[in-house]
Amino acid sequence: MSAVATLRRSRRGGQPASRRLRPWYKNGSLVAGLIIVGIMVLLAVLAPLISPDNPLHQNLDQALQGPSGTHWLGTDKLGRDVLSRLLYGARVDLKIGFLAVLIPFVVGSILGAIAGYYGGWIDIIIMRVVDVFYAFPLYLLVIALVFVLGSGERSIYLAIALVSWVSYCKIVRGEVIVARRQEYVQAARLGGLKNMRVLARHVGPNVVSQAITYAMSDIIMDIMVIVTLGYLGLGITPPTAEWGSMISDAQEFITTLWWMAVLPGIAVVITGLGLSLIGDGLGDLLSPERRR
Amino acid sequence: MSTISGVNEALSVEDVTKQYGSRRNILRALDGVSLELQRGEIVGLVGESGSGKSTLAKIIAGGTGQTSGRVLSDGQEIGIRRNAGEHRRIQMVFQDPYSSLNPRLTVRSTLAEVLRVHKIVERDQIDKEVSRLMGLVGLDDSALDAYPGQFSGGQRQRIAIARALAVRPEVLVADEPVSALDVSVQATILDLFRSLRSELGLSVLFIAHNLAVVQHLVDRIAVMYLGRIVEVAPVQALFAAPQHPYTQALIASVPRMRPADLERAPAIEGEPPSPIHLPPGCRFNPRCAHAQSSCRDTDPTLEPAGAPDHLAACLFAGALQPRSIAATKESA
Repeated sequence: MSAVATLRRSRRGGQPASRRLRPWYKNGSLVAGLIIVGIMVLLAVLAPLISPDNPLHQNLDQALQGPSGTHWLGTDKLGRDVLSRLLYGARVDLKIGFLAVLIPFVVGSILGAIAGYYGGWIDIIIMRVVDVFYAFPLYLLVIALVFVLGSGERSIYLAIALVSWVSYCKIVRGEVIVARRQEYVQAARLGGLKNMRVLARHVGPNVVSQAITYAMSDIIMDIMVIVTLGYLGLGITPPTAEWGSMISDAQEFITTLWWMAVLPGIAVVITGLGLSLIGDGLGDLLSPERRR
Repeated sequence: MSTISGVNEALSVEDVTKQYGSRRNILRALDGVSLELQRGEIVGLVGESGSGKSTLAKIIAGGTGQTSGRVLSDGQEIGIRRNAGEHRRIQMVFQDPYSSLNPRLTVRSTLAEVLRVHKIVERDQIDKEVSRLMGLVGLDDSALDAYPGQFSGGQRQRIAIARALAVRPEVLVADEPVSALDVSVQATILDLFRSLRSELGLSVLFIAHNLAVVQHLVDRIAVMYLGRIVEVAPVQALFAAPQHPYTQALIASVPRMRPADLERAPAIEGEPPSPIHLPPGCRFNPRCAHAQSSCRDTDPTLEPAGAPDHLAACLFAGALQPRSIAATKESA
């Protein structure tokens, strides 16, 4: 009985019920992911300071050595230090991974929001273009584009951006269609607010979380694409250290010097794990239900 | 009642229809609805689900367009494409306070946004105006920096009302603003509407599916059935002498705390017919206990019945005693 009375009193009063939001640092997967990715980024940034050797420095006398005091992770077939190449490779792969997500995230989300909010022929046009891109397998399209644009960092950005904006477009469009029916969006429109303002302030913040969560897994996808391109010889031009080309170069020694291929693979997996955890944590943190 | 829009009418709706669907299956959500709201008047709009109450609310507030007919605010016609000033005059309060507030904006930013966009007050006065609005709806200033998720349903509805009031509207359209709330909270929100009317001289169209909710709040009641207003009357007249058998049934179905009433059989039976295939004649005739053969031929229009300002759309308005239902049931 007294519980009911307390409840009623709290509902009557003008004060908000003091329900605290769980702070972000108590979100286990987010923190774990941030730590993992943070360490990877830190290693990449500090690579010039902490690498034991120049990653491009060849020493054919000491090619294909196992781990030792001078070369902790051994050397590759040109006698280059594997640890140094791994650290410098992180710079390339992480940079492309993050940058290649930025453009499609922004462009795709904006186009998706416009398609979902306005509907009608704008929606039809945008979504038919999306369908065309969706009809091709991702890798096939990226490889074809890189082939046309020529290998190198810039064409990789471009190819990934051209292909992957469609996912953001689809995700955000679906979310916007749901949000558009929400009464707070109707209330904003009937309150006489302009469409752009309604989109930016009332629809956008409530739908962007899905796209951000997806972006985290998309970074992993992009790193996979870079690694795959590197493996196929279409990626970053040698001799630049990059995880994909390291795996590709090491495959002929997989039976004897297996760590040369496995180590860059592990680097990819750890980065992917960290980003997945961040995506998972952000999904919890950003969902509007949390504020309900 | 007059066909010429008087100056005193804050809002008037003239012969509005709303149809959905294609040529084959036309659904008439609204079928020639006329209603006017005087300044400072609260009109209750009641009817069961599907009667077109919410459609009418949306058309008035500018959320959707009508198929034909006119909506006039202050004697000027306003259409679906409204400028900020036209939006400002008519504001809406929604049914579900859990979805009508943006979960990512604090109360302060929700209120300040409309004040800024409509330039209601000078920029440096916004904070002051925001607290004035909070006071108006009975909330504490300390709640301003909280998010909607931190409030109860009743508090949220107060915030939604404050947002509607921020632009200083002339007409408030409230679409079942209490039906999502606990009964104990309903009364406090109804009180709020009452005090807003007396403090601000606001005109309110208050939609409810329950006569009991509006009984002590409104000046007049309009009863809707299948897209039409079947009876309009001042609240006392409507409860004292309901003319339309549907209204009589609605009143009879209001629960009362008297044991004798428990014996009363359900006053109305069945579902309303499909609004796509309306029955010929009076649209209530299939469910009406008093239906005669003429009811199946003639579609009745709203005509004066009984007391002044009392209109009913029934061929036998005035002839059917409101107690006749109860009387026949008791004698049986």
